[in-house]
Amino acid sequence: MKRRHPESLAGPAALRASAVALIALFTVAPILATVLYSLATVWRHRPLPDGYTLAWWWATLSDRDFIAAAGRSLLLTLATVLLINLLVLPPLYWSHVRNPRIRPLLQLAALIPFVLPGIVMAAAINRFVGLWPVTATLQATPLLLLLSSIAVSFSAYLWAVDSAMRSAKIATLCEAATTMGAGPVYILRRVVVPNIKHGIAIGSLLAFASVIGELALPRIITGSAFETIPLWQLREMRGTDADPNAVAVSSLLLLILLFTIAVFVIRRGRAGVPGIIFGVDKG
Amino acid sequence: MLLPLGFVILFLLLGPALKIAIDSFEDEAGGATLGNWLSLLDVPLVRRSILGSLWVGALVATLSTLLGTPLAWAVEHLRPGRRSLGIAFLTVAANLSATALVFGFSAAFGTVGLVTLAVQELWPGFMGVDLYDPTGVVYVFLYFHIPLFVLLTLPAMGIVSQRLWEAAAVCGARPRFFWWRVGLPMLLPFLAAGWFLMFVWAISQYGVPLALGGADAGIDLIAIRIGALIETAGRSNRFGQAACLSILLIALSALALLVYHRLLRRAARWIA
Repeated sequence: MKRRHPESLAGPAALRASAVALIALFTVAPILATVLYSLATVWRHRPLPDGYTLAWWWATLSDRDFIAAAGRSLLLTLATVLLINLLVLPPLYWSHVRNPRIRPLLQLAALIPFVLPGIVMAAAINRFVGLWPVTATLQATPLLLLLSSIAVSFSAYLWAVDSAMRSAKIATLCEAATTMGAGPVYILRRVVVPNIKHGIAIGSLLAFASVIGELALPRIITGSAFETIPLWQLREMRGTDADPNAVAVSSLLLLILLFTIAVFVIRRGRAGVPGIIFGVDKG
Repeated sequence: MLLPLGFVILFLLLGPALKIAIDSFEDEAGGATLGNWLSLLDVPLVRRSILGSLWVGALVATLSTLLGTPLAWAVEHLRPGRRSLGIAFLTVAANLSATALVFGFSAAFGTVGLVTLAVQELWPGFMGVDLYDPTGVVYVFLYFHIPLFVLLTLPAMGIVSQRLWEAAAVCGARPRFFWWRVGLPMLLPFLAAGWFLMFVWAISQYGVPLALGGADAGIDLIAIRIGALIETAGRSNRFGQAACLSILLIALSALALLVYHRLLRRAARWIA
């Protein structure tokens, strides 16, 4: 008997649906476990905690060390994202509108951080600034941490904004605007930025997410002198005064923060993130 | 326009990398030597970390490819709404920060984790994942490498289209023949490129193995060894070894990324 040729190439729908269910389960399980940890009174060898309390949230949110670490992390991350915007946007704009020849150069530059893993850069940057007396004062300072955070995390931003500029056909728009007599500042403010706003938001979000979770740079460059949230979490996860419930609370706070920004970004536009996911690095 | 960014790249990426390359050929007194490089083979801890990274990198890349490919296929062929939902979950899984990931993973899948205990209710022999065993790092890596692999290869899955499938069917091709002679050969360059990218990602991870306990927990990876050498040595003589390991890591990443690019360039004709 001749076998019937399947109509569709995609395969059984049930199999595909269960694949998504599996992804959801695997993604949600650690987050759910973290939520339960942050609310559990005692959790003995049973699937669910024995009781629930908000005490850990209260304790963590009033913990001086945590608040200080959160302040440092936010300050470092926001400054990094802001500076990445200022550093990358102008040359990218220039490459699209005036001089397409520098575009391959920018693309190449964005690849460099991938060849240089975070831990290698953390080790190398401190050594490098130590070469000259003038720059040696930078060694182990938050300023150096800020500069190196920019260097290792601008790639995702560059890709996101570059693809936004390409799909918005910025060059053509600028030509049209110039023909109609608009000045350069007006074009930038009313034509370029509104059209690539979404790309800028996604790029900034990716940079934000990678800097706020970065471990290698703060650990090696400044160490405990400038304790960021990941370093604080690391201390709470191990050592003599480990406090898993506090780690759970802080993880969730970060997750809520990122999720809120992500929802805000995704609601504003409908472009997909996966094309630029290449820029993910856990330090 | 290019100047400030060029400054960052030159002085914060390329300069330091060059400095570390020079460091790898300097002895304690600052003279030229090959001793650091030769010591990589002599010091068992260092040698183990190199083998460990290569092994973990290859294993994670291979498993990500084997498990990620069918998953990417499934996600690509979902209805649009479910597809975005799937992508959203994958993006979250891929972007959890190292500390949050290790904590959440052990709270869910560890020996006394939520999922482990729940499964034990049904199946008492289930042990969960022993995260503090050196192999634990592979499980946690897979947790975010598989989503990355799926997100990365998702755009490529669309090239094996319903039209091709029907055309092959009209010509009398059976499904197995179609996959063997049409589907797989088209996807293979993308999957191979994905493998190399996963390899680069896996070998350059530092945060996750550190949060798992690092060198104290018996995790032997190049990145962890570099960190341990720097922390114990400060600015003293053992920096030479850390420099060599750094250069080795850079070379491995560069090589794998080069292969990745070659593969994608060959494959790009299917997309264009």
